[in-house]
Amino acid sequence: MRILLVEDDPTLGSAVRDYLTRETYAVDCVECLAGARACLPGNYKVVVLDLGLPDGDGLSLLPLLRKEIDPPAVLILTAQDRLSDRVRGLDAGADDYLVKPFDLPELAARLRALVRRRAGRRSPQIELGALVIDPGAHEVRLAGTLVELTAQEYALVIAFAEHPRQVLSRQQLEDAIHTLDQSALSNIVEVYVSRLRRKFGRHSIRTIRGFGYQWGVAGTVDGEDGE
Amino acid sequence: MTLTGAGSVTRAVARSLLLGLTLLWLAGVLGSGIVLKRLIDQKSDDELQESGAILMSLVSHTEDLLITAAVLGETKPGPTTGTAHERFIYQIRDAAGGVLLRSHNATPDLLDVPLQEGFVDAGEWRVVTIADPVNKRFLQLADPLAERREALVSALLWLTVPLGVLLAFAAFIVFRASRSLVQQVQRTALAVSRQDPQALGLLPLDGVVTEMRPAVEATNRLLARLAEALEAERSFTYNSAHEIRTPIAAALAQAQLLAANATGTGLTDQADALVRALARLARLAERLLALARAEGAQPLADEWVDLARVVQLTVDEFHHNPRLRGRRIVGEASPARVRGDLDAVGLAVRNLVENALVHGAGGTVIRLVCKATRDATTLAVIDDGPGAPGTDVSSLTNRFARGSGAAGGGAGLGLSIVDTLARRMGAKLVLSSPVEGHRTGFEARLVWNATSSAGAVAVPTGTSSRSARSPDRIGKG
Repeated sequence: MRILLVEDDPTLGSAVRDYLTRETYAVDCVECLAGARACLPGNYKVVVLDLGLPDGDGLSLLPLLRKEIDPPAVLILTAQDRLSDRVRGLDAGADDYLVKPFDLPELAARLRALVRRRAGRRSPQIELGALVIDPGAHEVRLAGTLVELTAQEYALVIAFAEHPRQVLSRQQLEDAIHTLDQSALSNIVEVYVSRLRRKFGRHSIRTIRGFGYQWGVAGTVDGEDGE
Repeated sequence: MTLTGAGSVTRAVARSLLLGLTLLWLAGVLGSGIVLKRLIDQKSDDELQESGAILMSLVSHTEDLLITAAVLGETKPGPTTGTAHERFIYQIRDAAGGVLLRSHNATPDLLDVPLQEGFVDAGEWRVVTIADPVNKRFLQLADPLAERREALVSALLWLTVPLGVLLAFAAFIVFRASRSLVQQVQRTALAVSRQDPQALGLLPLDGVVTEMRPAVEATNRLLARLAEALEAERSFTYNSAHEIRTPIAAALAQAQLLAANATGTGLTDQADALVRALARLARLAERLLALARAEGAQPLADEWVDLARVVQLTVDEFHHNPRLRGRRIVGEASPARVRGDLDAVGLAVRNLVENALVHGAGGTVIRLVCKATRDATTLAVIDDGPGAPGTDVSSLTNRFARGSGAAGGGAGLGLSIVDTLARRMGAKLVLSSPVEGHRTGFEARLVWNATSSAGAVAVPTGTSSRSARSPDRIGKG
């Protein structure tokens, strides 16, 4: 899942980026509004936005974000702690508001809640057929059995789980993992799709020629896989 | 200055001016009376002298009659003075003092004055004695002193009577003039009293009388200086908060990242200790920033604050907080609003929740409850932790005070901050432990009395469809 982090303090920004990367998010980090605008349009699920930026108020980015085809959720991360600041931010269209200093686990929990809210899920767990994902624990279970996944594999599973029954393009899957694996492999998506098929079964991911990939039926190893 | 005060000033000015005017006028009348009496006496004496001379010449033509009267040893009534009211009386006496002739209205004992030329007062009469050295006779002519007094009184009366009219007219003029002047002052005073503490605008100089202008200009200079000082304080408080929070946030985030990466290595304990120390530093900095804001001179806004929304926002703020440690935070918000400052209310409630996070450890839930009744509007933060057993809860509002069984981590500032904010908002902080109806727990309640102050008028929210009897539950940790 891609996240745009707009934070002008490089020390804080790098810590948040690295922590969220550990949490299997694909994070783009910029330090100003101009950098954020340059990243748009982008396939971001969440924008973590500081307000007091060198080139303006972070809230001025919200209208631009709303013009996205799939507008990302916005979490404001700021030192402005007054209740009126919070009201101003939420009324401007932000989805959540977190005041500095904060706990990184709390930020991660809020991001998960935002994603869950966007997907219309009430439960913190994601169910995809026999697959049950616990984003808080980063655990994936197939028919009750824990499946060990790398961060990149987990990010791909989350990307499929967030878009059930949808065909995800190669670019979308690359976006989901691109900051997690900076290797120059041109077939990186194919590599990780192949690994997931080995763990969840050949039919777990279907290849839709000319379009991309679709999560299929996990837990089976026989039959056609559509390739 | 109040309107009543202004009225009294007007009356005082009018009273003083009129009293002074009256005294001055009466002094003038008194002086005039003295001069007038002298003039009347002088004029009357001249008239008496002149009349005496005329009468003496008349008497010389009645010499035979006088001789006859002397032979007969009788006194005869003489000719009248011819005046309409017979003001004068007279008598003619010989050198021995015997009365030769007298006017018919003169009694024998009336003019018993010495035979010496000149004027003398005899009882109610002014007597002039004129000698006739040829015939060795004396004419004594008198006119009544009462007449002179009447003339004097009449003159003084005519001087005094207009004073009443003058005083009434002067009172009107003085009252109008002083009232006009006082109104000038009053306008300036009203402009001062209507100053918006948030804006601190300058007083208008239009229409200010010349004498008041220096005072208004000086006040404007002071207001401008005060506004600058308040803005500097506000800016410092706000900017320093930002400048302090960001590096602390960066250090804390780096430490937490380090702790996460150190999992499973030998550095885990050190990394966790670093995180705890920085987190404590962050909380202490927050408390000090909050204390600076609570005790600052910045005026608080006087606006409607929706307590239900404050509850909701505060629950949203804390419901992912790791320090809940398994506890839930819920809001039970009935429609309620008060006059006050949103940020001050928010800061107070946040500090109450922080207090519950630190000292309510071991509980299961932190409840934020707001409601309005006829008598008061309240917002309470209630936890079901151990409470403060054996502690005088009222002492917990003292700075750096901690309950006897308090868990570590608190700076002892939170409730002091809330108490300060409550007093500034016209509310009061009520603490109780254990919670009513329970054996444990701690409740901190902000109470806005509906009648206690203008800054704490509490009314139910009219536009909300929520029922006061069935509060909404908000959020969950």
